[in-house]
Amino acid sequence: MSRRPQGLTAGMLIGPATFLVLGALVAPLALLARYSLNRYDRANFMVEALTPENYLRFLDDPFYTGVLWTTLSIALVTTTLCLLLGFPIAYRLARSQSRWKSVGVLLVILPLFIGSTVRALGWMGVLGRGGLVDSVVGAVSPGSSFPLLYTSFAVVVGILSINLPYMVLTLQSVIEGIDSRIEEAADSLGADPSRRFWHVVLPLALPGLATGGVLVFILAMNAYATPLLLGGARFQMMAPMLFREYAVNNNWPFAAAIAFILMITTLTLTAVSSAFVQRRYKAA
Amino acid sequence: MTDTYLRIQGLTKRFGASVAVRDVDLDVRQGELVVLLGPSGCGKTTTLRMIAGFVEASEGRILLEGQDYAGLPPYRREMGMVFQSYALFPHMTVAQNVTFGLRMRKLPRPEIEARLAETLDMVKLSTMAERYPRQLSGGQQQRVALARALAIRPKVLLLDEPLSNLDANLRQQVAREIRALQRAAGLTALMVTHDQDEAMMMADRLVVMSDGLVQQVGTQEELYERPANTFVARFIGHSNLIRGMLEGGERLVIPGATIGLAGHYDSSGDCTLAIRPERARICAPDDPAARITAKVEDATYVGAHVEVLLVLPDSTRVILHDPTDGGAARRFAPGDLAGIAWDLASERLFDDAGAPLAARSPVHA
Amino acid sequence: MTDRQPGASRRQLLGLGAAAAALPFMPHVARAQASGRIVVSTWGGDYANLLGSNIDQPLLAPKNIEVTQDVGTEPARVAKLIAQRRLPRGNVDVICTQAPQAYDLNEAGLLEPLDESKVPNMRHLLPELRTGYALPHIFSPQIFIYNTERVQAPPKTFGDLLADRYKGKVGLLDNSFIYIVMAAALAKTGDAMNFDAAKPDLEKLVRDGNKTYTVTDAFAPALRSGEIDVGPVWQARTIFWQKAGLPVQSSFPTEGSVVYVSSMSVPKNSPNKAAAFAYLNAMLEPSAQRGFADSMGYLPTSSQATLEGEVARRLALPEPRPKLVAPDYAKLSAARNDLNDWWRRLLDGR
Repeated sequence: MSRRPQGLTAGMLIGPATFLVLGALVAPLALLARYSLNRYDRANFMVEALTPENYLRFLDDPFYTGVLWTTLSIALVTTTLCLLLGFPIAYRLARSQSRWKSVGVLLVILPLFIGSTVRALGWMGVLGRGGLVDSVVGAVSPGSSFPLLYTSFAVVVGILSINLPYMVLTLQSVIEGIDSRIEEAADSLGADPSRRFWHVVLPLALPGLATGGVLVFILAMNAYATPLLLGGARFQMMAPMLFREYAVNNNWPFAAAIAFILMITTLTLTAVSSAFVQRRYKAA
Repeated sequence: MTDTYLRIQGLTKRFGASVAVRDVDLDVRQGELVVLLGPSGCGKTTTLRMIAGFVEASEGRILLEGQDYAGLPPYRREMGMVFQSYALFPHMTVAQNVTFGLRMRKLPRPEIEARLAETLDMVKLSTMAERYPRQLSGGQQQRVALARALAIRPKVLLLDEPLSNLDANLRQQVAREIRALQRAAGLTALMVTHDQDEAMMMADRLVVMSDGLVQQVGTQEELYERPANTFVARFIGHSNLIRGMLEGGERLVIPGATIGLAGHYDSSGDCTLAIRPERARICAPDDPAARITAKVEDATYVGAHVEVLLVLPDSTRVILHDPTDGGAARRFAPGDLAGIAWDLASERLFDDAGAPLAARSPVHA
Repeated sequence: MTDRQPGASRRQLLGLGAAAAALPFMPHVARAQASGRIVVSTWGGDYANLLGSNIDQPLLAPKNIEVTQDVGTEPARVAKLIAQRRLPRGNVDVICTQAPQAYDLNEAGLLEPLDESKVPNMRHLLPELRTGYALPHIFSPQIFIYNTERVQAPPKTFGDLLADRYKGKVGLLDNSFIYIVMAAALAKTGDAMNFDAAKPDLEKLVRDGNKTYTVTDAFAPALRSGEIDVGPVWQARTIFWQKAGLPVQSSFPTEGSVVYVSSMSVPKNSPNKAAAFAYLNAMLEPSAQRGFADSMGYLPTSSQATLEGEVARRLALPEPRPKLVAPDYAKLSAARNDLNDWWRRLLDGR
């Protein structure tokens, strides 16, 4: 008998939050899923239907799958670079005992206060024709021009600059959780810095690397402003394409299907990678 | 000392303006276990970490078999370290932990296997080889940490508070085990601790440190019987310290009383008398052996002895251990006056700077 | 009889509860009815501010109509309207959209028909721009903008953009590519809606390495840096960038200019239609129209709104007056999805 009121109380505590999550996350997703099976109609925008045609249109067309591949490869490249660049920075910050540490953390966090659109505009000034890089190249060798804007390089740099802070902050907290004596133990047992990294630091930081990697991968897969502004019209990624279908063409069913394909791709890769990491971590 | 194995010379560590370790000199013989003992913040851990190579020395030399190790990175020093927190690799099994150093040395596989078996056998963990550290008790983890350090057959074994994370009733046992292993392997070892019982139990010799300075180096007996200064007198065992003015070489004048000393000292002025609780006895105030009278404040029966708290006329509190078999303490009730008596061998007098004064037998004795 | 009493009270309670639940979701409805308020769905920024200072305060406040702006991007606002289409009373009284979007909304049956009985000032509208469902508010003809420092002989027809002297130096705005297609069709066939005829020219333009920009704001820096020299844009843009100090001029195509029209319309489920019509009427007042010409460089849609002085000089159309071509929105709407698909693939180059 005493069980019941307890369960009731727990239910009452969890209930509102559950409803909030259901309402704020699941309901729109369900609606979106339903939309993706509807048919687009110019006069009515959307006709109730249960058709896979929006998905088939995407999957059957090398143009659309090509955009998905571009998005995937950009996301993978930026995630890899984030890991490679983020780890040393995070490691330095985590192990620093200097009073400049807080300044370093602040420097990492600071860019997060600026929106991605504004930062993309900044990169346009740096990478564009007549921009910083171009001017320097022009000054070094007159007559030559080096515009980097509207290239995949620009998109990678832009996304990297936005995602790196997330990676650094995630890794920093994970590395701070690794007892520095464990590294000293490896040291005293004869592991030079590189082997200490491979055998001790990396395996212990792996869960953090996975978390950070998943985080920045999802962010990169869904990047909108950066590819739009830095990639230009000829460089197509999923989020801008999705938005165009929704906003310019009013084709909500197709936009919804694109959204789901993007989401399922991202979720699948995320799940696969975490499963891999988890197994590695358990086995190690 | 001719057979010095590890020699530390002028080892100093400065952090900015503050000095953590000042000019430490120490010679360690092969197979010796030397304990660095001192209160927290005394510099003992920093000294050990400089020897391990985790902390760069500001000055000084670390000579091992004549070779200076001060500039070497820790992974080339061949020193096995056991950490206070054990610092086991949580993602590796016991076997992987123990063989880590051997794999780093790229030893052939059969040799690694052999050494693993041998080392696990030494620490009695042979059945635990495939367990992860989180599946072991604290004592077992401690043994893995020890095994891991022993497996590389280190030139010096460094132990940083190795027992402080263990339950009190396990400490003595583990302390003996470590001592036995170290002796059996003929290992030279340096251990850091703040616990003097632990230190006394394990050490061949002790180094007492305070404020970054070595206060005294010696065996247990030397430290106990001949403390180099009031700090050591108080820190090793316990000493009642009574400050007063030395007059005529054999009287210590304290406010409100005069203590008749057992020895004669060729000195005068401010001095500190150190008397160990177990080396003085309580007697009747009119007993001719009484060197001073004091008021009994409290007497507590603690099993091995009665702990008697007395107050001198100048308000200094003195603790005496009166034997429970035939001691006099139980005859005294709080508020009674009692005499305190000791003989020459138990009397230590230090001058104003804390240095011991040599005693002669008094002229009239 | 005895058990009816609680039944009735329960029903009353339910009714009250439903009303209370409905309230937070449509505050505009309740207010628009009670106090003569209307909700205008509009873009933010300069446009919204100018609506306030040229229409809301000087013309509607004296009539006791209080205007609340619902500011957002056009797609978001249109999405909201579509989502509310089944509600008998929506919460928007006037919606500002581009003319092609207004056509689509009207085709979907969302817009209230408009005529002089509702909006008397409609009789002054430029006839080319007039429709029965959305009132043109301001417009701007498509011209060739060019950098005066680098271009001595500005393009005269769309065909000139394909000439070798501009190769790689033509800027194309991705967000108005359909209008560029129309300009090309107009030059090629005299019919702006003959899209297919225009495709080869655009394919050549794109493949020649001319630049495409996703956002209008990227166009000006490109003109300044010399990444591009010319490009088809709205005349209002030239005026705006001239004010910003860019050395640019407009050149009108001899074949005529396709026009961009920004329009306003009244949703069928507007809760306060009378006030909405009054708003549209005020929007066509010459004083209100001139305000937008002054600040944004767009042309007035009312023949009554004559421009004077400096503004008139800046916005003057050349003589002989160029042909202004309003798109056929029906054909545009019919072809848009296919055109978009073709254009994406063309840009992609896969």
